[in-house]
Amino acid sequence: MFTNYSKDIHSENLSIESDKLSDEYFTVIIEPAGTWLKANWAELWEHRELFYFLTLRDIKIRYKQTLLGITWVLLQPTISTIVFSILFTNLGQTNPLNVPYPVFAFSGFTVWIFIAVAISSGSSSLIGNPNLITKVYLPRLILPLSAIAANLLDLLLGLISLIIVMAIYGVTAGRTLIFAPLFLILCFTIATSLGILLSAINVRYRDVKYILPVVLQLWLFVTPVFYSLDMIPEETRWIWKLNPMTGALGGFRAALFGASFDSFEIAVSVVVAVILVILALQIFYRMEDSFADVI
Amino acid sequence: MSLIIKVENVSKQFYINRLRPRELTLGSTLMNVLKKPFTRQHLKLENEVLWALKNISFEVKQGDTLGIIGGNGAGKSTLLKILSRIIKPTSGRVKLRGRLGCLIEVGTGFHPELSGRENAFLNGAIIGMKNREVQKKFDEIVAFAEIEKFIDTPVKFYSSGMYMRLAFAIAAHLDPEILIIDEVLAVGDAAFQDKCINKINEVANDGRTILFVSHSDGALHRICRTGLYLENGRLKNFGEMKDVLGQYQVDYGKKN
Repeated sequence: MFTNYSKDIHSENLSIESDKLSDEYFTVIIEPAGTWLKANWAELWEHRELFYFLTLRDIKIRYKQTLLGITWVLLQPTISTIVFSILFTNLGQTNPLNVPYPVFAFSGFTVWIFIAVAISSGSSSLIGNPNLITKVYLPRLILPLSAIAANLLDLLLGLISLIIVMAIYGVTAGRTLIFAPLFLILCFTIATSLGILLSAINVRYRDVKYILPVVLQLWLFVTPVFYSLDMIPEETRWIWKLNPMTGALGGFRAALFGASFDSFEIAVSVVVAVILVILALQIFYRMEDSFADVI
Repeated sequence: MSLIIKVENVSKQFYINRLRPRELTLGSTLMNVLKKPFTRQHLKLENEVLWALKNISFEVKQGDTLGIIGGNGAGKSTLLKILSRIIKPTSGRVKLRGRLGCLIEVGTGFHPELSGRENAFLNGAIIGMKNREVQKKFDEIVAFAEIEKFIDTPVKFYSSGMYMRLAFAIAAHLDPEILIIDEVLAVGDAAFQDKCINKINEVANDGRTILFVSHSDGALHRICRTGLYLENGRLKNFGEMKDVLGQYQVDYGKKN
C-alpha cells in the first residue's frame, strides 16, 4: 500500500511544502463527525477475515460450559413444538396448510427462534464488546454482522432437523421448495437490519436491553408462528398481514408445503425489509462516530 | 523523508455530564423531544465542557519515532485515539498515509474460553493483521511469548504473565507503516520489557513510523528521537526528545 514518496521535504520548509500536498497523497483523512450516509463497503470488504474470526469466536463460545452444548439449538424449537402441539390438538386445531400440526409448528419455531436470537445477539454486539470499540479501530458494522451471522449455523441445524421431522410425519415438500431460501433471506434481512439498528441505539440507550425481550415475546404472539392465518377471522386478517414477519414466514411455509402464496403479505414484508435496511444503516453510521465517546 | 502524518488544528471536546445514565434514558429523551420538538436541546444536558485537546498541529515524517509525554489528563490518549480513528475530533483534521496499527491495549478481544492459538488469530485480525501474516509468524509469536507448551490451552487457565506475554507477542509482530503504542509496556517483568523495547527498536530501524506514549523516561530515550509535550490539552513543546524530556522533567521537578 505504501509507495516510496521520492520528493524530499526539508524540515525547515516542511509546513510550506506539506501544504502543497493534495489530499490524494494521504490514504486516510480523519475529520469531525459527519451526518451523511457514508457506508464504506471497500473497508468492510478489507476486514472480511476479521468478520470470519469474530463469527467463529461467537460460534465457538456460544455453548461452552453447557452440559448439552449444541443440542440446545434443537431443544428450544422441539420443546415449544411439543407444548403447542398438546395445546392446539386439544383445541381441535389440526392440519393447518394440510400438514400435521407438529410439523407446522416446528417449521415456524425453527425460523422464529433464529430471528429472535439473531436480533437480540445483534442488539448486544456493540455493548458486549466495548474494548473492540474504545481500544482499537475496526469498521463497527462488523460486530453486529458477525454476531448475527454466527446464528446461521443454528438455523442450518434447525432446517436439517425440520427435514427429519417432515420425514417422520411423511410430509413431502412441495415443488415450490426452491423459493424457500428466498424467504429465509427475507427473514434474515429483517433480523439483520433490526439487529444493526438496535445495536447502535443500545450504545446510547441501554433501555433496549430491557424492552427487547418483551417486544420479541409479543411479536411472536402476533405472528402466525404456532397458529396459521386461517384461524384469524377473515375481516381482521389484513392487520396480521401488515406484520412483515407474517409474509416472510408465511412465504417460507407456503414454499415448503406447496401452499398458495399471498402476494399482499409478501409485498408488505419485502417493502418493510428494504426500508429497514436503509434506516438501520443510516442510523448506525450516524451514531457510529460517537460510539467510543458514549459506550 | 516524506510526510506521513499531518495533524491540523485538532481539538476534542468532552461533555463531562453527558453520561449520567439515569438522566439520559430513552424515556427522558423522548419526553424532552415531545416537550420541545423543535430544539436540539434535549440532546444535551447542562454541558460542562472539557477540552481534552485544543488546537494541536504537528507533522511526522516517515521513519520518525515520536514520543508523547505529559501528565495525567494531558490528552495523550485522546490524541492517540483520534489518530487511530477510534474517536472523531471535534474540529480540525488529521491526514495519514499508509496502514496504521494501534496498540492502545494489548490482547484486545481475547476470549478466556478460547485457546492461545485461537486467540492469536482472532487478536491478530482485530489489530489489523492478515490471516496469512499471523500464520507465517505464528511460531515466532509463540516463541517470543515463551508459551509453547500451553498454546492449545484456553487462556482462562493462563497466569496473568503468560496472558500478557502472548498479547504482547502478537502485537509486537504487527508491522504497519505507522505504529501507535500507548503505555502497553507498563506490565511484564523487566526482562520482558527489555525484549519489547528491542522489538520496537527493530521495527523503528526498519523505517516504520512510531508514536509512543510512556511515563518511562528510559523507554522514551531508547525508542524516540522526537518528543511531543502536552499539557492540559495544549501542545507545549515539540522537538528533539532530549530537549522536550528535559523541559518536562524541569516542569515536574518544580511542581513536586
